[in-house]
Amino acid sequence: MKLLKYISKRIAISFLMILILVTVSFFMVKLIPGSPFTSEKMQAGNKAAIYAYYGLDKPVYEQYLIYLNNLAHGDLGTSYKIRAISVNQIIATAFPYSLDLGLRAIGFALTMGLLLGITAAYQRGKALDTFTMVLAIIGTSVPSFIVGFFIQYIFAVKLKWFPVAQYESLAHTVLPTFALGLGMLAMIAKYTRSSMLEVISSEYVKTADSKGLSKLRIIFVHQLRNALMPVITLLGPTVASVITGTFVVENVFAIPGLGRHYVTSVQNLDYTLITGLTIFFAVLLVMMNLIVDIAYAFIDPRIKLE
Amino acid sequence: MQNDAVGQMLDAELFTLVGVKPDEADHIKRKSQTYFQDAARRFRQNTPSVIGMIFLAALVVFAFFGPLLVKYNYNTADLAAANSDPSAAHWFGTDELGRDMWARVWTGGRISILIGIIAALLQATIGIILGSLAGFVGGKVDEFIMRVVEFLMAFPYLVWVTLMMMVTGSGILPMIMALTLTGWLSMARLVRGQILALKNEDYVLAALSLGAGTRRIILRHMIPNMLGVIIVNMTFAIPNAIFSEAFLSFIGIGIKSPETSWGLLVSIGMKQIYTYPLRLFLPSIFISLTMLSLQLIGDGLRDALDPKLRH
Amino acid sequence: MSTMTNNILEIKDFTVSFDTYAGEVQAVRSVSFEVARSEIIAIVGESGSGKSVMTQSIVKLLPSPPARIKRGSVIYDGEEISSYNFNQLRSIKGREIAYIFQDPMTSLNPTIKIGNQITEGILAHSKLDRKKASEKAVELLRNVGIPNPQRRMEQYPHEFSGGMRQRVMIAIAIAMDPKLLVADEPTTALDVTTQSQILGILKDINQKLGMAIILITHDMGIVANMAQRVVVMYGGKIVETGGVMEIFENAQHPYTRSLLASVPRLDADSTRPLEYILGSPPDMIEPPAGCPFAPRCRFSMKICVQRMPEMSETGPGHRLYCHLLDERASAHRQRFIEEYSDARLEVLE
Repeated sequence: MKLLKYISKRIAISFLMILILVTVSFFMVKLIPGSPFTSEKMQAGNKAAIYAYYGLDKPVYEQYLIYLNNLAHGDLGTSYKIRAISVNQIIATAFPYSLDLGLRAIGFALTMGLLLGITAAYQRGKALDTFTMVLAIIGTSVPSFIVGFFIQYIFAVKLKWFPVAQYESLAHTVLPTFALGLGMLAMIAKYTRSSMLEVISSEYVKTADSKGLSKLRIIFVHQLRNALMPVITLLGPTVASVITGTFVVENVFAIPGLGRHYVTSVQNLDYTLITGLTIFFAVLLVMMNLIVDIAYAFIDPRIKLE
Repeated sequence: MQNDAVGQMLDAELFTLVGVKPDEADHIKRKSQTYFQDAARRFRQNTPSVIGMIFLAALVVFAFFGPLLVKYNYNTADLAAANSDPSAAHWFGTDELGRDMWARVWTGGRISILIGIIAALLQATIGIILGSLAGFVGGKVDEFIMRVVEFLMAFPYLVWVTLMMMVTGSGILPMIMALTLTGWLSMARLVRGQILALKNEDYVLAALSLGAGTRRIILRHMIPNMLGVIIVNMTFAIPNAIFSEAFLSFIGIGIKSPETSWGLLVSIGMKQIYTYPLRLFLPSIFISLTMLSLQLIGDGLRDALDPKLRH
Repeated sequence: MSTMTNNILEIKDFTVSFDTYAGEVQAVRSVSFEVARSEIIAIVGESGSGKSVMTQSIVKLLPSPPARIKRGSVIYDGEEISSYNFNQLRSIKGREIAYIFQDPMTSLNPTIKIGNQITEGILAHSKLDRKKASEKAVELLRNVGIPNPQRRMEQYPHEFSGGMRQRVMIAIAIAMDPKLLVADEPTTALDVTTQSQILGILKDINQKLGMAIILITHDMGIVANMAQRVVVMYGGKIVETGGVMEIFENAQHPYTRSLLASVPRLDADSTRPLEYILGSPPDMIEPPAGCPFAPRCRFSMKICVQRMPEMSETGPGHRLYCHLLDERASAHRQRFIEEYSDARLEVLE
């Protein structure tokens, strides 16, 4: 079962990656200058107590092992700044918001991106094609936070079509989804378009045509299938882009998600939270890449048998 | 009758031998051009790219000479003139401390663009060195370098850069360092791939069989082919660096006051979006234009330097 | 479909252009020829002479834009099909006229099993069910000489060698017993041994199934080996047509003679330099008004540059487009015949 071997190999590598990631994150955060509590005024005795509470009085490698141990039990530690709340709790409350937003954005980017890319390829040189290319260029060059501001300003503040901030109702989701998804939409559309163009002019499509097959069959079985396969490889970077996009979009639209927490943790130097979130994001990404790799192995016969 | 004779004479004339004129037969209709001449021509014909170049040139000129055009320093407060609209005295108006926005925007631009270019150059240098090492030497060295690249790519890039920034601290130099240390990955992979592919190319074999030495092969054959992709990659690396700088300054760990950059200005401006939107729009538009221009140029360069599209 | 005519295909004044950024490329310019039933006819010419464009445009295989069929009549088995739309052509493609292309790696869909690529055509054109179609496919694979056809059905193109892939292409093409097969340089990408195997299969098909074959090639040896008639193209136009024996012994067009002369011969004097034709193919965006070969023709005359020659018949089935035939050019023609008198190629058995 070559496929099974491939999958287990990929899973093993992913585990290893996560372990290394955890280690690197942990030690890098330790490298950040200053100590987590320097900004706070407290008496010497309290300081020692707090240090002991957080295990900061132990040697670094011991802290590392303790951390690993906790991690293995699913415990990411306690926040330094927001007292008495564990990182797990923060993640638990914030993740649903980010997940919802992220999924909507990905869905939006995928559907519109694929649609635009495919139709642009078929309408090569015509108006829709030019429009798609222009949109793609703008989408990939204008930074997400700027897009966020502009649509917030125009559609929420000035035109008042949508609420300005927060994430309470369906109407609240529209602008953030668009801001988060635009960049990815552009990338997917561009990539799909060029993949389609390549496939449309390929020899095997000509062979299919010469066999007298129906237009529908030529398009779906021969063109779309082969053109869309490579687009799956975009899923990895798409998720990465979503994760980093939330940092900004959640800030602009005041959404209480993980991205927002990440930004505040960085600004507040909340070390455990930073570490915890970094690991969380990295694990998400590694898992996503793993899923994409496996999915691709199922779909492309050329990989299956390697 | 006479017409007939003349007609016949003319006809006969048509049947005089012309034959082959060697230079005409071998006459290649268009002048042969070197690779770079051809690429330059194709680039010039690409309208969006040319527009991009014009925009970029304008932005760079303004960024470097803009602040010199006014007598204000970007950081000098003048509370009496605080919060004024664009006027003859202050072309972009002033901020809440009375600082001239024109000076601030263009000084910030200087820094953002400089960071972008320098970071991209350094990233490219490291990437080329490591990529060439991996490609040429191969074996364990190659594997090791590629493992590192793979691992680093597993992080979301911005998280990685943020972490790095926190370690290096804020400021221009630390930022350049952080960006460089995290951004060399794509160039390294690219260069390595190029070298691996070129090593096996037929024309390298041909050159070898004609007796060319390794150095000549690298210089005459490999580098010109790699230059194209390297330049294109660098062109796209600059807006990435600018965006990263903007993002990091925006969330507060990049450039900090009293220094200024476009990212920082956007972050400040965001808080005043309802009251003084211009302070947000100005840096935003210029960041967007810069990144847009570089994208267009990058696309144009990629198409122009693609050897397969040569005529 | 009438069976009155002896020709399976007749093309008249066929003209095809491409719209490119650089301008309109006139790839095929007013081409006329016929293919008789069950005959093997070769089309020779340099790259860019329009051979592939012409044969593929017969059933509109080229995406249009940028390709454009400007005018011409295409009569297949007595029926005018030049104005047929996609759906009307569907009943001809695969079932009446089939194609084999040059590179079997790119001509097969890399993500679909071989078996399915064969049955696809069968299912589209017949009323057979899946099982019967599969059985037929296995049979076809066996007929083209692929061992273990049952197992091979489940494999993908990249698991086959170049020669095997081309056999698969042939199997796909003959699945519905078409009357005409267009083989576009089917062996160019293969090594010499495989080449002769594939050509053998094609000859077999022609003899056993009575299928006519248009064989596009630039290899005169293949022409001698396989074809009964040959069409010589240059610069988008036909310059000479005739029976293979006749052409090899008595070619009348300077281009054809040069082609024949430039084939290296085993028994030739090894100290003689290889012959080649000076110059390069014409610019098809602004093609010359006269004979396209004129700039490279040692015997070209002023009239050749100005005007395209009319068609003349110099023998049964031997057609020629050349001004040398004109009585006013007789002096030059004499020299032409003398110079090439020893450029005869021995017809290979």
